[in-house]
Amino acid sequence: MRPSGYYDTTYQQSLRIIYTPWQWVALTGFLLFLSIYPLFASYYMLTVAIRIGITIIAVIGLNIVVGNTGLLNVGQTAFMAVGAYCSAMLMSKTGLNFFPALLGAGVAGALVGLVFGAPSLRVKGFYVALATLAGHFIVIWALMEWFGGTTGHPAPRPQIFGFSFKSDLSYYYLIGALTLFLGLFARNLFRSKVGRAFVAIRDHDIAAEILGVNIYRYKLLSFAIGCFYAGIAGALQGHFWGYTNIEAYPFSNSIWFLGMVIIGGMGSVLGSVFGAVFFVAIEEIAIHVCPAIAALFPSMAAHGQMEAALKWLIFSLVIILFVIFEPNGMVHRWNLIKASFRVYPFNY
Amino acid sequence: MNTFIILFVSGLFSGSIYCLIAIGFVVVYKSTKVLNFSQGMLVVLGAYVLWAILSIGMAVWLAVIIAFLLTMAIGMTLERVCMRPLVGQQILASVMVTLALMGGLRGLILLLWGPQGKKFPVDIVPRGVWILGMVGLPKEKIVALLASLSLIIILYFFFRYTRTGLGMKVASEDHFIGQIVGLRIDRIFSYSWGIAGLVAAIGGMFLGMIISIRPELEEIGLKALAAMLLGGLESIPGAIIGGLIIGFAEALSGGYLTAILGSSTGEVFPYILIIVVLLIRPYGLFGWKKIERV
Repeated sequence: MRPSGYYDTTYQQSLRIIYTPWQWVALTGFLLFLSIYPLFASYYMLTVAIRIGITIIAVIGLNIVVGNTGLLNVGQTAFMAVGAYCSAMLMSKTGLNFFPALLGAGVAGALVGLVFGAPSLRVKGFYVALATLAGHFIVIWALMEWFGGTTGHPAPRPQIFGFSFKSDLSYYYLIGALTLFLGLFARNLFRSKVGRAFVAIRDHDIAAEILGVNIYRYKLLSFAIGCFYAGIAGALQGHFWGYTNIEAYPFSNSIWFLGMVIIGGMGSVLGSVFGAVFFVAIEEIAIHVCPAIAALFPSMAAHGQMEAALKWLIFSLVIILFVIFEPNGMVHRWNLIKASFRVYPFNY
Repeated sequence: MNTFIILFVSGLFSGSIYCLIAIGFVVVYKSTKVLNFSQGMLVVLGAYVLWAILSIGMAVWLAVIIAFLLTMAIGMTLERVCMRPLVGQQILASVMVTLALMGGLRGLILLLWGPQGKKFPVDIVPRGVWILGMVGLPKEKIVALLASLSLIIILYFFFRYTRTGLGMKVASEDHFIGQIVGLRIDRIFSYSWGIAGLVAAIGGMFLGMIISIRPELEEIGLKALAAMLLGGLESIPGAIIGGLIIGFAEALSGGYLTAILGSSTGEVFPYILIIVVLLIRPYGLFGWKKIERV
């Protein structure tokens, strides 16, 4: 819903992202908050913020494919693994600088994504899910057998013009800047010709073709962009951990990424942010609540892995509840709340 | 030649497990047009339920019957609670919920029984090996093969001649038409998930007998997707042929290609097959050629 009193007289105006001065104020305030966040956040909360940033990048990428183009990609984790391995190997084997390596990771992710997105040219619906599911296991296998798999590679922290991002504080700002840039890029993509072509394919592929959208090209483009994001996110994650390890990319992570897209809101950058923050928050809460539950049910805690089990259980429950009761995601709820504030004290 | 026969036999047996799981996929897909990704986890859950009942110390036949009924009830409950509200919604919703169910069931199993592998405390089928020429045929694997064959024959006739079975076919074609001709669509969905649960329990029983029971065994369920896809999504005979082909392909590629491609080639071969089938013949060997090519 538009804020009242602001009228669009041109097409450019109606495409604006930021409408009112107050939105500028809110945005500046939020960015200011993010930039001073490390001042009062503990070290642990700083790493949580970094994890959120990386997750946001991966989820935005998945949202381009799933939310905007309507192709079910269940292999996002594998494309992240490709990115992580690629940039770690480029840096440690060829001595490349971080930023070219990061770009290389994104491109590698995109190329692998193209390979497994190719079956989507012939089929749709859950067949695409099947193709990317198979793609996940093939990619993980290939990384394990041919690219130094289980031992992994060291992934050094980036260094540029003599400045090293060794501390988590500097890495936080790097991640923050990249997340902002990629988020803005996706937001602008959504309101460009390409983004509208994606939405047309999602809503009705035959109609889109009649309107002159080249379905094959845009489906592949969507896969490439989404997997580029995944590659970048994977590389950032690898350099954050300092090593790459195939164990860190289980199939279940892809399910959670899909869950974040749905919980946040399909086809919306803000939704991706909501979904990622929500999931990381749940994960943290599960970790902290776990000891209390373990004390209540000692027989279950005796197995170990209670944390993991709780995480699986809660994540799945949340996803199912959202799909059934709020399929439009948190961003829809957010818009409703905003709208109700705008029209206050009236109902509409 | 000798290795070939051994690989062939091992492929036959692992193929029969894939068949048992793939039938579960097909039954649900045939009547509700939902690809149930959680079927593999349902199989593992069936094995755990049987293990839990057996470890109380119940008689084997009674334990098996109770476990079968229980898993069937779990399948029907999942349908009623999670899938029923999604009837008529887009495909993403059902895929997402079944994927989430996979994770949820896994979390439940981890919570209740832990990550350690389990073994049935008693033998359900008498153990032993028949020697046939130079290959030994373990009895429990033979029974598994026969069970999946007979299950397929029963289901084939069920879908062809019984009122409920035919109703399931109609329901998959069009819910609305099904209701016009007087079918209780909701019951049909419920029955199909019940059958899927039953098949999962049978599969779980053999899985637990042949391999141990671990939460990670759901990966077998994901590989069975390849069997289902290869055989054709709606075809029950296709499931058995697809399952056997996947079993053979996995065993043979594991036997012959590891030297060239690396040690876990057999594991990944079904997934490569999925991509190949999707590129060449997405409706499978026996499926209906109804794929929209957009």
